This record gives sequence, C-alpha cells and structure tokens, in this order.
Amino acid sequence: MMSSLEARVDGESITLRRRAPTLDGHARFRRSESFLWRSFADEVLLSGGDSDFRTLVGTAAYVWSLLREPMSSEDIAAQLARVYRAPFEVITRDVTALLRELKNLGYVDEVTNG
Amino acid sequence: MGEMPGVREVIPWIARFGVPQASPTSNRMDLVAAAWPPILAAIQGRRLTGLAVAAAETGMLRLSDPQWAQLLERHRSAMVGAISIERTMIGVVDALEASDIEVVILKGAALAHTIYPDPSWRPFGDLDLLVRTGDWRRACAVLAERGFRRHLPEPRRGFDERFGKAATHVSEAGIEVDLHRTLVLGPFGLWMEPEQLFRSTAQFSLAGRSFKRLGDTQLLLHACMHASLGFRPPLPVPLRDVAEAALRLHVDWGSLDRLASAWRMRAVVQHAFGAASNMLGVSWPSEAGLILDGRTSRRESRALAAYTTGRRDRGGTILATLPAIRGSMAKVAFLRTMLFPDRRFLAARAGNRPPSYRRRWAITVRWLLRPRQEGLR
Repeated sequence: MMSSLEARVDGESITLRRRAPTLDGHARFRRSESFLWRSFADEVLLSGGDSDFRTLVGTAAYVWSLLREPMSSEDIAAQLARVYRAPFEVITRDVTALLRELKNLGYVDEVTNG
Repeated sequence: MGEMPGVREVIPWIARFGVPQASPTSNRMDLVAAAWPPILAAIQGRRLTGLAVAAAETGMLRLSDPQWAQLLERHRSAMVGAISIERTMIGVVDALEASDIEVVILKGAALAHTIYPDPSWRPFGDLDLLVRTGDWRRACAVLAERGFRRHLPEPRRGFDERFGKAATHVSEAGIEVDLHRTLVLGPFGLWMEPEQLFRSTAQFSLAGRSFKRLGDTQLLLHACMHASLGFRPPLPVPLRDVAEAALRLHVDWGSLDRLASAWRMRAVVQHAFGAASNMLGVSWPSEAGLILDGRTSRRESRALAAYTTGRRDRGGTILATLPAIRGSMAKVAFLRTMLFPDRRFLAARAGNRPPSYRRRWAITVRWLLRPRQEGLR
C-alpha cells in the first residue's frame, strides 16, 4: 500500500492541486456502467471508448474501487484519511479534483437520487 | 538445496491458484532464483497472467521486483487485448441483432464475467459467437459488411452449414471473431443439436448492457468439450474453466447427464473432469457422480480417442467424422470435400507454396500408413 496520496491517471499526476475544486462535497458519484475496464494489482485499466486506454494507479485505483457504491468526495476522503493517515482537508481537495477529472472523462456519473 | 521450479511445476501451480474446493496447499512458489524467461513465456502463452498476478499479490507466488514488473507488463497487455475484444463484441453483437440474428457469446468474455471471481483472472485472445445454422450465411455477411475478412474460405459451397463448426473472421485491427454454428468439429459436433442451446441461454452484463451466454448447465458441458476436445493434452485454462463452471454455477446435474447422454458426450465430460481433477486437485460435488459414474458407449469412447490420443495427429477427427455423418450421400459429399476442396480453399491452406491436390492426398496416405501408437504419446 502507498504511504501518501498519489492519484495518477495514465501514469501522470493529474494536477490535482492546481485547480480549485468546484464539486459539491455532498454530491455523490459512482462508476459509470458504460465503460469496459479491468482492475488488477494496484491499477485499473479503463477503455477510452474508441481505441485508447487510461490507467488509474495508486490511490486513484483505490478510489475507483470505492466508487462501486455511490459516494461523495467527503465520504471518500474520510476513508482515505483513515487508510493513509493523511490530513482530511488535503485529501478532500485531491479527491474532489480526481472526481472532477473522472467525471469529465465520463468514467463516473453523478448520482441524483437514492 | 532443492531443485529450482521449472515450467512443468509452475504452470499447474498457477492454474490451481484460488480454485474453489481444491485440496488445501500451503506450498508457496518461490521463483526469485528460477530460470524466469521460459516461465514468463509459458505463463503468457497459456494465458495465466491473471492468476499469476493474483497469486503474487497474496504473497503465495514470490517474485523479484523485475520479475513482478515484467509479469505485470504482460498482464496489462493481455487485459488491453481482452478489453479490445469486448469492444469489438459490443459492435458485432449490435450489428447481428440489428439484422435479427440471435447471438450467444461463448468462452472468453462470457466465462471471464460469469464464472471467475474477477474477470482479470481469465484473459482471452478472440471472440467466439454462436449463431443458428439458419442464420450462418447472413451472419458471415454482417461481419463482411463491418470489414471482417474470413481467414479461410469455405472448402465447398454448403460445407459450413452441413459439416462445419466455425469460421474465423479477422477485423482490420487484427481481432479474430470465431463465428460458430456448433460447438466442436467432428463427430461430437454432428451428434449435438446446437439449436437446443438457444432454448436455455442466460445473461451476463458488460458495459451497462446484457449479452446472452449459454445456460449454466450447457456452459459447463461446453467447457468440458473445449477442455477435452480442443487440445491434446488439455490446457490449464480450459481445465480451470471446467472447475470454475462446475463449482460456481447452478448446474442441473440431471440435465447435464441427460444432455451428455443424448449427445454422446458422457465420455467427454468424464475425461474433462478427470483431467481437471488431476491438474487442479479439485473434488467434485456428490451430484456430479450421476454423470461421472455413468456408462459410456464404445462408439463415443472411440470418438473421444480420435481427439485425445495419437490418432488426432493422423487425421483422427476427420476419420471419426465419417461414421457420424448420416446417409451415404452425405458421407460422399464430406469425403469429396476433404479430397477435392475448392481451389481457393486449397490455395489459402497452402500459404506461400503452390496449391496442390497431390500434397493434400499425400497427407491422407501418411495418416493411414503411419503405425498406430494410440495412447503412447
């Protein structure tokens, strides 16, 4: 397991801290069902829709595993803070950025009810 | 100091990892000092990267960091392949259904998403689809419209629907689709009634939509056919499929026995279960005794031997097909195709060499003249 938060998409840090989070911390998200993917070891391989692929590694892959159930960024951050013993505020910001990235790529859906 | 494990020890060990109801093993496999390149090649070649990664993650399979990185790289490549095939599957199934062709997914994707605890444990290299014999021609045309090229032409007009099992179609991206009208080539393919398979299908979900697969009992029967009749000797992943299907699905053992009996496949099922038990160390549910202890006819045992003994290398499956064909005219048609296929087929089979009927006939003569060595190889 990793000792610090290092969410990466496609092996690159996805500039988590450069953008101001805009997601509502209470909004809940779950994996989109319309994608093909595989999870193994410490990574998730996601089909990009046509012929490309994206990889989530480290904490991003762990977040993906949590998103099988609808979760808010605060729910996820609380989980990660427990697992990685990292400051909740920093993690919340990073998780929010990751969720926004995944939402923009279409890999997660915002859950509007239930 | 004990001997280093080699391919012969490692492959069955990996094939057995995480199998349900196997006799317990506490033996770890340490490959840090082993001759790694041939082992890695064998793991990849036998499509065992998923089980190997899972075993290494638990610590039961011990690898050095470079070994782990190489295994992961091969597995990532296998998963890219599997997802690419699934992407193709979605498009092809949509196109077939738009043409009112019912299609059932066989093997690969259907097994990975149905009988394994995690689909990444079961890599696959092609897409197998079953359509009704009556839809076969139209299904081939749909694939051609989507840019697929048939790998080998039909040996003679009408052969596919009468005697054939499947034809491989290749996309521009190199993805292979095996379009089936029955499940196996040779006598067992002729004895079974593939139409029946469409009456008891089940569903599996992928990318937010559902696909048809064989029903649980029929899926197990097909896994046995593939394990016993597909390769000699049986390969680890098809044997693992048998174990996973038998132990995780809701198999109706009475139905399985009746179906296998009607299609003369009890010997096939018994052979597959025996081989899976030997390699994987699994024990079967008591209800399986119904079929495992059932009587098999001499006819089906002889047909099975055409696949599982040295006869296979001497045209055994083709020679065993003849007695299974009903009617003398049909037998003549089959023989005529074997001996005098169309020129286009002959040329495709010849590859870079000039097509030759004489060379084809010489193979048949060699089959008949070679000394019999059943069971020795």
